[in-house]
Amino acid sequence: MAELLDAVTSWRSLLLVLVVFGFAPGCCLRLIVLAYPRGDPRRAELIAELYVVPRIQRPLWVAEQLEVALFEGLAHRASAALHRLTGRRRAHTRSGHRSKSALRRALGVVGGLGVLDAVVVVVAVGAVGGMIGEWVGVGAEVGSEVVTMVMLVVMLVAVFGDMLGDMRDKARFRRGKPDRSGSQTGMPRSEADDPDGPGRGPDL
Amino acid sequence: MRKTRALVQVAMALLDDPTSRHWGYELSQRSGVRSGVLYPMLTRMLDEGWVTDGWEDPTTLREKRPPRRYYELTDEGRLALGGVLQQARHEARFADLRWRFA
Repeated sequence: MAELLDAVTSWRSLLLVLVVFGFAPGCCLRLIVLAYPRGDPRRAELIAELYVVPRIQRPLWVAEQLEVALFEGLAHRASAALHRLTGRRRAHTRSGHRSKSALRRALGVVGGLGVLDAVVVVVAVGAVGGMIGEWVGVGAEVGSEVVTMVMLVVMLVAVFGDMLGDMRDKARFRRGKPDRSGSQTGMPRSEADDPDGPGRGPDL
Repeated sequence: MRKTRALVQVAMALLDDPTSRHWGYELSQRSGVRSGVLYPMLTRMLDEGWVTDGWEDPTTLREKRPPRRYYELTDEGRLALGGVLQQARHEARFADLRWRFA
């Protein structure tokens, strides 16, 4: 604990914080807003607002946006992922096409997650794996590694499975056959089912 | 929307100039509500239809910066937020804010 406190209060940490938030607030903010789903107008809004914040207040303001992004952005991502799941389910029901298994649909959702979602999922799964490892008795590290590995494999399968599915749907769409995914608009599945829709603001 | 101190402060800032455009940072400064609370509140107001949003026209910008997002009160928002202020006027927990009421 004392070592942790020393590390936090050391002059190196202070210097790092000053450099990161003081000299590169724009860069930090651009990273922070990645917590919002792609196309969310808040991304462009926060970056534009940075230019009207007085220079002296920028580091603190940027640090404050981390809180906004974590609570608002990640919540949006979670709800978007949920929406994607229920949306796809609804689309399948509408078209009367139910041949895809529940596993394939669940994998489709995992495959449709963004990079940040994936990082959050991997970290969370690692933590859970650590706890399971401790509980089973093989140690937190082994548990975390095994569970994370399994999760990564599942995600890779999901991503490639989703990509292959999209490619197949697009090929079918080009040939003029009706889209199996149930899209009413005739758009490829990935666009038609995107709950975020096109961004209202300038996209980043 | 739950009537909180932050909502009352934002309502006061918005109704201070009910017909003009409001910007996130400016609104945060005038209301005294930090952005961690303000932006989620603005999102809820957009969902409720109390405010509308838009983007600055990039061709009218003099400085070299991206266009900003603005918020404008709708008629529904003016009524709703006016009602919030009316109620807040009689509540003891907002007593120290009364001096700022129009």
